[in-house]
Amino acid sequence: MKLTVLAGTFFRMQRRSLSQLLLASAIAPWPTYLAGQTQTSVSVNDLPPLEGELTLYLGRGEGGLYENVLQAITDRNPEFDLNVRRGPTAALANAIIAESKAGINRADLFWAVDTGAIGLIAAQGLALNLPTNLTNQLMPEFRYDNWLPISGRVRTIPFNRQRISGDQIPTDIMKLPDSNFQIGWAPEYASFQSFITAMRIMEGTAATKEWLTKLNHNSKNYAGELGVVMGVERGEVDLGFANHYYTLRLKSGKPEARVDLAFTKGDAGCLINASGILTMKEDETTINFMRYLLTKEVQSYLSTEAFEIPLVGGIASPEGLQPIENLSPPEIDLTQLADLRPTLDLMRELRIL
Amino acid sequence: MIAWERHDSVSLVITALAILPLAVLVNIALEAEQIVYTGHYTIFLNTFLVAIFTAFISVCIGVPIALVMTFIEIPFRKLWLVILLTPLAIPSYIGSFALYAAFGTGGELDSYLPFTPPSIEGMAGTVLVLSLYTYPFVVLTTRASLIRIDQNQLHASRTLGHGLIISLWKVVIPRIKNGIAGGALLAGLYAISDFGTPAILGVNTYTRAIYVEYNSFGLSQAAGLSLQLIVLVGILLLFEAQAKVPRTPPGKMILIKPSTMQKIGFLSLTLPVILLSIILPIFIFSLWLMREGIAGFEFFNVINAVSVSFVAAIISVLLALPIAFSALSGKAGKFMERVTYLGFGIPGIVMGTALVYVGLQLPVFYQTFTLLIFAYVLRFIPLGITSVRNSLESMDNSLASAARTLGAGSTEVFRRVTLPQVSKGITAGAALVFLETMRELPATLLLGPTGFDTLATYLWRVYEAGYFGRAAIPGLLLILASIIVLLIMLSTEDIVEDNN
Repeated sequence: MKLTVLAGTFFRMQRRSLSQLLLASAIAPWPTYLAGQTQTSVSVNDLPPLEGELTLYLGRGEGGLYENVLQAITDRNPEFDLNVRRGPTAALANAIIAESKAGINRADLFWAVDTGAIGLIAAQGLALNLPTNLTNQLMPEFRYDNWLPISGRVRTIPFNRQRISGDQIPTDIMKLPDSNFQIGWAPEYASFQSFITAMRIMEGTAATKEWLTKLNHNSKNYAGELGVVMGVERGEVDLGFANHYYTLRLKSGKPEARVDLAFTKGDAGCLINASGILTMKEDETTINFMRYLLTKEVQSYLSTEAFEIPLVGGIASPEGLQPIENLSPPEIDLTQLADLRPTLDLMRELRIL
Repeated sequence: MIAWERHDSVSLVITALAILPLAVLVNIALEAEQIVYTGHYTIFLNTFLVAIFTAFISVCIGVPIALVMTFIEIPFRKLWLVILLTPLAIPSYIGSFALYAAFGTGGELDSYLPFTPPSIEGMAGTVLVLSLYTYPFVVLTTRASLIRIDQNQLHASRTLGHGLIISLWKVVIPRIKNGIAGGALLAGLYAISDFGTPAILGVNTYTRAIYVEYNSFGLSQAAGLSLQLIVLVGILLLFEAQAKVPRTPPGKMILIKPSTMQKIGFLSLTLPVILLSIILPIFIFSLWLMREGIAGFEFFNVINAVSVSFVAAIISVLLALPIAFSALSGKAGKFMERVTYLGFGIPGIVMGTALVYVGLQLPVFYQTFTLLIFAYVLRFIPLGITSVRNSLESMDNSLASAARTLGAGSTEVFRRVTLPQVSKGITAGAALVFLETMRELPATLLLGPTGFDTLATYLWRVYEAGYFGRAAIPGLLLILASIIVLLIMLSTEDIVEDNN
């Protein structure tokens, strides 16, 4: 089947137009905007119209549906001009830093698929603090002072249910090497490196090194985590490590796929990472633009269409994934995951990279 | 000793500009807090092998095509030629992804063919795909030097009892070595700096190591590794500099008039290449598009892509002329020429980031077309130089001297004697820069005006988003637009020649 599977996944995805969704409700009058509201999703109808001009640097990765969200917001706000500069996340982060060193500000906002890039910009002191009535809309564990998580992805263990059963997989990620499974992983992939970084921070370098060494004997490399999930599905390996949405996308295109998801508990194996946005311009429009990204319309859209995990309360998780309350992610400051260097050194030392 | 001339001063300025981004890279690399990861020796070896084999296979595909397209009278020769050049406009990651998906067990072709085609991956797959997307370098540079081969020499060889193939091998090939080597160099440099293909097909090269570093925000490390790549670039440049050709007076063009069957035979030889590099990727993406369903018509800004590429092509060849002259007139010139090549071997995203720093020194130009075109020209000027220099090398200097003796000024000599002789080289250079700019991605994303979209950036967006089917229409437009512009460019060759 190879890539037919992958293609089918995307082809069968229903892409409803978010623009239509947002515009349909635009006729309704604006109720007074409720300041300080916490943990309940806001509707676009509760938001003031956007005015003025903003420049957004959009760091792209596998997401892809953010474009539709931006289109819908600009369609709804005729007085609002949004200039979008697209590029690989790391390239835009480098450009923002170079611009600030040269004393030139071109980007008002930076939306990145990767918390590492966010951490990098924040570490340079470029990210402005956000009002609490904005950050408080997020679930408590996702509130940060100077950046706003938009949607989440959880680390999962996709397994081939014809080769093994889910209860054979330990719920402690550190016990996994004892089980002698054939595993698939994508060491070059940023999310995998973040996962190992989280393990290093939580369990220490020695334990992480031992974990990697043991698993390395039984591992098969893939170019990306979609490849890992496809390899698991074809039965090339017993299980793998991948962000949750690859499996969900695969199964939505091919419901009979022989792959299921297992979760560990309270460790790096079920880390929830996020895409996020930060602002470099102190401005009401900027903050209001960010409010749009947390509305129930946008959050539901990202959940149903991109299979990403909504991070404001009261919005259903993507189909096929258990509710976020049932997951037990580790408590970790996501911006710490920008400390990739020791992780790469470790992986190189073991000839994994 | 050859005197310093006006074109040498121009060359010096261009060389200085070409060094600028390299100096920035050195600066970024020096910022690394720890010893830069130097890579395992297998990375160096793999990268070297990919470059050498890609150059070799490109020559094997490109030279025969150049011979057929120059010497043999076939209907719609220019159109054939142009079609055979368009793989250069297709981003190689698009091609490698399509070929990877098409071949092998469970690939798209598996269900259409009575047998399972072998999979395209690993070193062999990478070399094959890269060759399919670089052989036009060889076609154009070879064609530019073929144009001045004297028919009588070939006839003499054949009269002495050699067959056509032997005669071509013994008489023609030695006289076009420089053209072939120039194209092979460009193919090798492209292979060294390509990101997508080795990653998709699973070969551990420098670009993979650079990619890992770059994405984990190790810009210094990525820059450091890129500078190591320059060693490889240097090795290739030394190889290429060995190609020297005897200067022979030009004569009547060779023209072989084959029978209809032979024509069909010659043309069908080119079919596998067209099939694999153009038709198959478009077919695979169309297949996915049909499954996906066409999601509304999107307007692709073809004009954007064509106009920046065209401007970049014209400026590049204009600036390539003085450098090519300098390169042939002394050691200093040769050195300056070699330096301008270095940038072409460095991965585009690293080069693009270095140019962000350069651009920020002149904020008026930052994120404007001026800086974008400047970046294209710096990246792709070697394509222009190779083509122009090769045709200058095989030029007959006595004609220019004769014209001077007859009282023509230097401008007139250039316009009426030199220019017509190198016109094929100039159009070849312009065509190469045009095609390469059409598929350029990192500089366009990092340096162009905010919101500026080309066909290549659109392809990248749909590819990144996983909507592979949506690559079909812009991919086809990329090919059609390239064909039209190249036909126009090649027709100027005839005008220059007809005027004389």
